Amino acid sequence: MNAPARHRAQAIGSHLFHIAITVGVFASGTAIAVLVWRADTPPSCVYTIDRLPDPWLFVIGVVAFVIGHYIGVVLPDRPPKSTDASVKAGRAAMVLVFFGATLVWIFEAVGTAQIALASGAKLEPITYYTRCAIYFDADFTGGAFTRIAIFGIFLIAGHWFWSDALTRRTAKP
Amino acid sequence: MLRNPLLQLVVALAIVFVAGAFAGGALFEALTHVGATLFVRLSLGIAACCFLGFALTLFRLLRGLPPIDLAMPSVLSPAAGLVVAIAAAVLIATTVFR
Repeated sequence: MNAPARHRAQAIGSHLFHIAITVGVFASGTAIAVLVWRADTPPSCVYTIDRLPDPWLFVIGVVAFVIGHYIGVVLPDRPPKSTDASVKAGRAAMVLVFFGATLVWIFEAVGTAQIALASGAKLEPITYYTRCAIYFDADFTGGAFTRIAIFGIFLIAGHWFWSDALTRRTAKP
Repeated sequence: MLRNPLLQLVVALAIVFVAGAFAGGALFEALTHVGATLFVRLSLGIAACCFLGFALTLFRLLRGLPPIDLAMPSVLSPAAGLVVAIAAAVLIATTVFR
């Protein structure tokens, strides 16, 4: 395969990877949310040692982290040339990310204090709800969506935080 | 003094974190009548830092100013990535391993 064809194939592969992993993480998260939403009785999410820790979740995370890095080696990111509109859209997305993160951490503070609502229910920290989703998924699908979500999240983490792009930039003469 | 944008940001985040933990904790107690524990204050401190990021990014975007070039030294970049990865792993581990 000649160089331009190889670059084009890498660019297509890189785009497909980014689209697939985003869709995969959102789809698995949505599937768990829908299952919980449609449940007749909400599951008890008190920590019990018979369900967690699950070492396989750790193994899946580590393997996905390494794969995420090597996908960047095999399919180097070739982002299209940025335009004025794409730069603005990127910065607007960051504004939303920071705003969302602010709300999330305020919720975490309120949940950590376990404040009771008017209905009598208590708010809990975010980790409680995450654990709840894992329990629920384990009951209904044997934990398939949890594994997909953890695989996807760590794949992205390995791809970004152990990025091969920096190595290539440093090596460039 | 403090001409390096990265250093300015780190100092600003540290100040906002402490202010958010104390002032946010006081506000939290006044609104909910529940004592603000250490972890509540830590969460509020991080929320204040995120709000600083939100306000700064929005302000510069609306004023048409370019993004802040943090000029992060290349040696620091992998280290920062490692710190973020460890922080994420700790957050996930507290969920999975309790």
